[in-house]
Amino acid sequence: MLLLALLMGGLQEAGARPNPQALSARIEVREHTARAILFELRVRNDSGHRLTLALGGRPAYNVLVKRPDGTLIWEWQRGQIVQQILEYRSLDPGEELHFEATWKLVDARGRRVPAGEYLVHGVLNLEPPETLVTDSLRVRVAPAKRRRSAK
Amino acid sequence: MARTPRRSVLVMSVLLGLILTSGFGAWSATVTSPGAMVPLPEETLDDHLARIAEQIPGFGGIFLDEDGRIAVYLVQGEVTTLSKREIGAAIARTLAWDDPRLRTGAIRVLPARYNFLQLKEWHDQLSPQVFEIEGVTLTDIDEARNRLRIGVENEEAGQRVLAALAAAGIPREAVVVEQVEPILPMTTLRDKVRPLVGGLQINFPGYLCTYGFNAVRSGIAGFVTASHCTEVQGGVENTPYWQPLEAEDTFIGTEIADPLYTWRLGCPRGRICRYSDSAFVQLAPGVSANLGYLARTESLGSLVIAGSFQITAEATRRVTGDTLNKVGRTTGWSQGPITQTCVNVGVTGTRIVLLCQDFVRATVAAGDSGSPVFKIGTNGDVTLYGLLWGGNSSGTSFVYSPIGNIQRSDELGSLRTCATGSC
Repeated sequence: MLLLALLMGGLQEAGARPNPQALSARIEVREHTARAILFELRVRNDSGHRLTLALGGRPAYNVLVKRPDGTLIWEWQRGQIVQQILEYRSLDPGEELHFEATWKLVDARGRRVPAGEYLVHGVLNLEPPETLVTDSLRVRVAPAKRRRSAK
Repeated sequence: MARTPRRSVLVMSVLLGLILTSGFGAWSATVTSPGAMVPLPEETLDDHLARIAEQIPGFGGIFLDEDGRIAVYLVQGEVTTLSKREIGAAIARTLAWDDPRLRTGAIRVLPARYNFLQLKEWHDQLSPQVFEIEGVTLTDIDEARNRLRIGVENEEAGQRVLAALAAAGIPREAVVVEQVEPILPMTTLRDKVRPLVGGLQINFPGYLCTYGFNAVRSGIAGFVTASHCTEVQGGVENTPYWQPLEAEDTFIGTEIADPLYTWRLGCPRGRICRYSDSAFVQLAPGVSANLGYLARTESLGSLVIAGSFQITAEATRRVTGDTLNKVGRTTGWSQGPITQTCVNVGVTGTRIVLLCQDFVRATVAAGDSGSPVFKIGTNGDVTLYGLLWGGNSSGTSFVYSPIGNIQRSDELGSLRTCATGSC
């Protein structure tokens, strides 16, 4: 879990210094099938008071899948058009934001990835150019099942 | 000119980064106050330089010359036995400037006409007087010229400054009087700006976007911004707007037009469509706006307003490769070529498809929605092309709704957007 730095005390304080340890973000696997993995990005207000968070874009989040050597092979927002709006969202103490993204186990070209281990990061876009990035989550992709050939 | 200690540290940091080595010369002077002089926090840089002058008789100023060497002015008649190394040490101590060239005396000595203490005395005497003259914009002890410097906006102010110099008994040749641009406070796209022009930050409950362009619709004065920069995208909810942020005196208008997204001919099955992501906001009574003007920033990427673009035409055709511009509250002014025209674009996370939109390869980020998109003509005037609403995740390409689409009868309808009398 990564402690987050960037939050704002309110709309009027949009440039205020961040309060470390106020937000935490993590990415989890919600569902893992042979054909896809559903990820959930969770951002939580760990401070003792209400926070106002700037969310950059609609949708404001992204999910990145990398090989263990760090090479990016897929990102959820690739090819998407994001509405360029800046939203201010209040979070009560302990309140969480949830975002979902499905990876169909393919690379940027849409080809099925080889079996093996992959690193996944969740990214929440804040007031540009700031972003909030989770620690990496390791996921394992099993070999694709062969299709039965018709006899 | 008085400077804060923080700024003097910055100045010295810059000096540190620029200084190059120089040779030793045969020169000496006398130290009169050799103790370490640590600047008090509230002292200005001029105070620090005066302290150096108290230690080094004849000290007239210090600066980096065109080759980056440390240059020190010394009045020839006042110098005696102090070595360059000792001069460097006194400067280093006083300015808390740890540089090997000062320690070794690798400085360039220039003949000075005036002692810094004399210049400072004149400056302190003159500055309050001349600032009472209309058109005086700055006063300074110019360390690089060993003179006082007074900036004026016009010749008349300059003449009055010269008269003040004579009355004060300050030698004319000790002062450089020159015309300078007036110093204006920097205003950015995120500040309160009136009259309203395109490209400024706007706020509606919970969100920030960009003010597109002023327009008159069915005789009603208002402005156009993105449809998704309303409380609900599609349909009228009377969204209130403030510029730049909600405050007592910043309310600017209310949404009055935002056509619904519906299925129509050309719309993919199961989707809802429009030809533009645009909404019309009626200006509140008493709010001033400049029809046909967009904010122009200092340069590409800048948020600092330096003037305006005048809209003199609306685009009637769009060609791939044409260079377009936008001005928005987050990334300011950006520019790039049209890469695709008339593309049907699905909006991520919705059932909405926007029909016949154009792509431009230029910088964009969250908050730029609603930015005016335009082409700059050879005479500096601009042709309005449309309204930015989206971009790719890397922020290198934006999508806009063409102005022709915005003015379709099933969209906002006919609008007057150009500067009065220009088109």
